[in-house]
Amino acid sequence: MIEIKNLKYTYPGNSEETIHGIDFHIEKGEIFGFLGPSGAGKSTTQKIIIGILKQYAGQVQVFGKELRDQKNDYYEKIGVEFEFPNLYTKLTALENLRFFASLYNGETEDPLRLLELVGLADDADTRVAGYSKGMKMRLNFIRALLNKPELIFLDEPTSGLDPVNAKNIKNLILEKRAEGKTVFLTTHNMTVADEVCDRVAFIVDGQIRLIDSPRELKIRNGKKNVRVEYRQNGSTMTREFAMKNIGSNTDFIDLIKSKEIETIHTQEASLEDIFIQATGRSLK
Amino acid sequence: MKKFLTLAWGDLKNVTRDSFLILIYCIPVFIALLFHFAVPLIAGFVAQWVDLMEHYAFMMSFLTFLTPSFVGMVMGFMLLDERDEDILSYMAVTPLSKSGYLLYRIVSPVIISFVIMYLVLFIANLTPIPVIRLIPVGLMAALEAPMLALFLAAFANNKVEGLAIYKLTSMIFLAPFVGYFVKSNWAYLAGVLPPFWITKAYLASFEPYAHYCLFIIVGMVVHAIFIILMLRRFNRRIS
Repeated sequence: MIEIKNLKYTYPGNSEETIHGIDFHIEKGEIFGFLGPSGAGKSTTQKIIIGILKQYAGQVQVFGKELRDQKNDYYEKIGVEFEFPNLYTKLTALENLRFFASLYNGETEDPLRLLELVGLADDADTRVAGYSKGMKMRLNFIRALLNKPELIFLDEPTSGLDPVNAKNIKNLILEKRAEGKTVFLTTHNMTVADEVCDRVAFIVDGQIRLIDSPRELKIRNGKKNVRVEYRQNGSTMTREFAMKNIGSNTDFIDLIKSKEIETIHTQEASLEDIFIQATGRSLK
Repeated sequence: MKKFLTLAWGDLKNVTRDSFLILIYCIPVFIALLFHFAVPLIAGFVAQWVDLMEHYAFMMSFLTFLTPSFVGMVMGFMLLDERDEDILSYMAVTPLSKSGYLLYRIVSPVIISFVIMYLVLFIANLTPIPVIRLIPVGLMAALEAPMLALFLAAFANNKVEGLAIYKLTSMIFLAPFVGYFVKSNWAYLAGVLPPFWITKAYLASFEPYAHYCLFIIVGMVVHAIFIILMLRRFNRRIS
């Protein structure tokens, strides 16, 4: 779906490159997470792929065609959610969606159905100026789905949302994958990336440090141990056991037979730990 | 075409929900009514000292560029809104594209100004209106609208600044006065300011073609240069 080779980019007027030759590819039907701290080059890379920044060096192929050779119909096939909601505040939510829908030649979604998906149907006729930040974010999200895009770009889709709405958005992203759509997700929220992405790329200082599936990364970088918390004499105790041959580890079996167990956890690494390990940076 | 109609529909909604913008659109009509009813009365009062009727054509030419200047102000404010709301980024990733959107932002105020200008001239009705020969003059005058709109959107940081900048740009409307009242050839120096040529061409509509054509051509070129400069500046601002 997307094939990037040796992509470099320097902003006009800057002497230094912002993107220093990155390579990655995204398969059709995949949710690809692009993770990194602010200023790492996430947004720049996304802006190149959506055709806003044109003077790039290297190869950017989308739908099997070099980006430079794409025509305006490219935008019939992609949907973009910007990090900050950019909507007409004097128009209602429904008017906004109808307005933007008519900029497309192809088939578009029913705006009311989209509003229902994110719980905004009752506020369809409210002007966006009267929306809360979370409502604007949800409206901004569904606008990216208006033109039934094959490839969806999402930038921090759950930021500013309460847990219920954030969960709903994550489910909708997974539904899109089930429909065979491809999602390019930019975020610095590791939990979101962990929950929805098939693969993630860590980008720092305009370079990709690591690409893999969250599951693989967490297992490979974790300790192969199980940690057990249990009650003894009124206080909580902790013990760790190696996972290798744990079924025949008599200490472990005795412990879970004889004690009041509170928690049992495998010790895989968190994505955040791996990020810090791989990049020497924290996600701010 | 469908996309342009969509944008026009959006503009209509946005304007009608902002009483300030509606008011600005009404100003040229108020002035035209004032011209129609008050000017002949004033001319009667001052007739023994000065013959105002002699200057009626000049007053009418004033209305031709006054209309686009107000339309330009409305469009400028809408562009400021769209810039602040970052709508332009979204337009750039739709099939309309940024250039399609900017084309609309230049063409639509020209059409609106052109139509309102005719209406306003017919309301004022101080002199016979050269309907056919007014078409190129009107188009040239209508170019003031996108020029001012882009000027506001390129230089102002917000609407308050936009208003201040608009007042500043109204200085360019001194150029037609120079062109009309200063009889020396030095007056053509004021021709660097676009409205100069609107009055020249308007007044020449009542005369043989030679000057009229020259004024139209030079005026169009001067307006085009300004629009290109403003467009470049605005483009730098938004990218």
